[in-house]
Amino acid sequence: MNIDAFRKIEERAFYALAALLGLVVLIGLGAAHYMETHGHVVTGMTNQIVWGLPHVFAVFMIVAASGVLNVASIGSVFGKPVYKARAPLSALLAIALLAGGLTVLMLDLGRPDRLIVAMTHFNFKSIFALNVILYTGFFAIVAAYIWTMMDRKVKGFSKYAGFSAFIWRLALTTATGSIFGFLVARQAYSSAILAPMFIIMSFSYGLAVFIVVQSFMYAWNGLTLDEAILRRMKNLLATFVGAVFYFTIVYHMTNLYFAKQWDFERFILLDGGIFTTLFWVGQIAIGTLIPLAMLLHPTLGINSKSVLFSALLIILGGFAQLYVIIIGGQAFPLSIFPGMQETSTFFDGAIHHYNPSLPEFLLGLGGIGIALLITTIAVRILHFVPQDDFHHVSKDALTD
Amino acid sequence: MVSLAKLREMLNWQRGAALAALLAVGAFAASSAGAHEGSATGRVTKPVHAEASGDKCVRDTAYMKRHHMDELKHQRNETMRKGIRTTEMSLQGCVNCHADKKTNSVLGKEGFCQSCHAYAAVKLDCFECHASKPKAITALHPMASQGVKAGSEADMAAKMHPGSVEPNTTGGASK
Amino acid sequence: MSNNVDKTPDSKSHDSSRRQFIGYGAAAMAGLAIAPGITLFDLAHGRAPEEAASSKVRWGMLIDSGKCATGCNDCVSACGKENGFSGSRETDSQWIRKVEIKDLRNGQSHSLPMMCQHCEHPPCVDVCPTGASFKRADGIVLVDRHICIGCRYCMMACPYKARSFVHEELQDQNPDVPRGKGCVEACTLCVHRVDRGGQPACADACSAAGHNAILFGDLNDPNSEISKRVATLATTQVRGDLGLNVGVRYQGI
Repeated sequence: MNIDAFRKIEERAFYALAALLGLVVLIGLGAAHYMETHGHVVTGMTNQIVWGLPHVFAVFMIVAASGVLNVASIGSVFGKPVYKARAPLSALLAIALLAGGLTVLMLDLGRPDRLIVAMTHFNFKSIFALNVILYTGFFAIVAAYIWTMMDRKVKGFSKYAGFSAFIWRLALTTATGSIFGFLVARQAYSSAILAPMFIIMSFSYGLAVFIVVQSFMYAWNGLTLDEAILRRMKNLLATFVGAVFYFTIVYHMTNLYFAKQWDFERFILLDGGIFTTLFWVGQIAIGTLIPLAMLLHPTLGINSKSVLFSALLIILGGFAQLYVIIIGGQAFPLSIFPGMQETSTFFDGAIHHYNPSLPEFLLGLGGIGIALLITTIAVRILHFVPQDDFHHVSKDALTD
Repeated sequence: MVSLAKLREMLNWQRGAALAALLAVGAFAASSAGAHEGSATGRVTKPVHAEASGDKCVRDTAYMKRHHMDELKHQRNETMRKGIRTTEMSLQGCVNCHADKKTNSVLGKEGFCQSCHAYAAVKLDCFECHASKPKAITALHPMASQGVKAGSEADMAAKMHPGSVEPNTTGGASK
Repeated sequence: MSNNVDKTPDSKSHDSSRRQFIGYGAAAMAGLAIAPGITLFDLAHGRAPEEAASSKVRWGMLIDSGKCATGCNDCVSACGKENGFSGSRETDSQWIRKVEIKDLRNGQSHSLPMMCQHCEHPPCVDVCPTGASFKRADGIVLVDRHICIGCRYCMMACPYKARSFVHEELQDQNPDVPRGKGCVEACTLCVHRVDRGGQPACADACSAAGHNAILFGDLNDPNSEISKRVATLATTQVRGDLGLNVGVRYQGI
């Protein structure tokens, strides 16, 4: 096929993809509008499960946004050339995912029309308010970082911008984890371990998202990823997945040592129905053990298709994990009178049920649509396909 | 080099498009003005609302037109945050005086608040939460404030909102 | 117990005299018998309308679960009538609810109303991003719906499940109690009544039913009935381990 014919097909495919993603975004916005006009009564969220599916999507995207920037950080902060070539794409994905996640979070508010209030009234004791600042700052810093990577005149600042972005993203994920960590009332949260755990979760989800997008881009352009680069990235991904596993074990072991937490642990690990299933099948099997085995397998591990498949499993597992943390954590009733059996007309002492509704799901999907649409358009306009200097690659491969 | 004739042709085409666009905008504006039971001039009609029940407002009309939102906002913060419950600038005071006699509400097409806000195209956010009808005098009935066991929900509602006895759905909190 | 209100706390209030209302509240609190028609202006309990709530006062309640009758729901229905809500779906608001608790070790059970505990250090206020959740000078924890964005973080943070989110559009609100879709709300300790010298509707309802299980008063005033009882009786703060120093205390649990 000659290059002109390829260009023509590629252009058509681009517009088709952009239109498809645009449609997903529009459906998401429509769902948000429906929720806004009818009130949250049309969602599965209630006064018992106050945060639902939109929050699972939003938190995943926000966490992955900071994690996907790691690729750039490894490049510029730690000076690895293979990752440096991927820094622009990584920074772009970070902005796109954060934009998608925040849109979902914002559109799920009871009063999304009061966004301006959220931007002008700050209670600095609230980690949420701090997050508003951290999120906006993240956009600004990463945008500046992209600028230093693209403009030769300011290229000298790239390392500093990359370093600031790295520090900022650590603060951001700490704060995201602390949204839950600072909740003294609920047994699932109220733990400092959630902050580092969210950081390591971001490493894992972010790199998985990066690998998926990168695979797609390479396939789109008919390129093949160098095996040495693939091997480096999948080893890193396996390390991150292992680290998330470690934190999960520590989290549950700590709870199992505290007698007051036994009921909660029994709920998540043994008889919590959907949450138990999601924990063992979703998070542990699909999100951890299967991808780990595949990534560490001598032949599957260096097959780009199976690495892509593992990354997709890790993303699915991530959603399961956040579903268990966010919704499972609320489904377990508050212990208002410890040691007592509680009943009331307001569902005290009872496991709360959550039936996610279609609008919520579509809103979450719309957020992913936003992230992918931004990525699709920006990659095309800014030519962010990783350009590897194979001189470096082979040298790295030798030292790998 | 483009020939002059071609240029003229192009200009004509552009001018035609511009004219068509203008016409479309004009037609849209006219039709939307018509939707407001527009006058012959095509402008939005001046708001019509009933007279207030009191004899005099807390300030003169010109001041209130320009500053009622600031006064209300100031009062809202004083009441909400500090518990200061002076009545001069209270929203309840506005509603008590300005509720339409027919609908017993400040909302509705001829409602004091809504008619003018519709005219000025300013979103009226107060009455999603605040009552748009005056406080029913029977709400202070001893039976109501003592929380008697007797009296169904409907009975109670009738006590709290005597207006609801007669159908006046036009003045509801939502359009 | 005659600690609370006179049997006819507001029999004449239909003439809308606020002063009279104040007078009754004050009279009842002082334990005086006053003939109808006399107005009193009590320092602690009847603030002038232009006077701001003061931190010299800390409103609170003492709930005696021994007097609270299992199956009696009067406080809950009174609250719903006063503040304009009803219904018991999972999406409906409940500012106050009756909780039945049973000690699994000895089988003892108690009935008690549960509502916003009006903490001195409220977690909902700490987490609120915009400052819509706030504590008034006199200790009443409120939601400023004008700046509440409906993020529900306060509902995640409250250890008492005291807060509700309004899931759908509302109509015909009580003029004194603005409520609306998309905002979080909770027990206001009937702040509109308290500011006029009254007491919360649940407390009124409880004494009207003859139980007198809910005692409302100023925890900062050493001479108030509630302070005296809190000083002498064994009272409990629910989830006292959290150190929130709540304004609603319980006895008998």
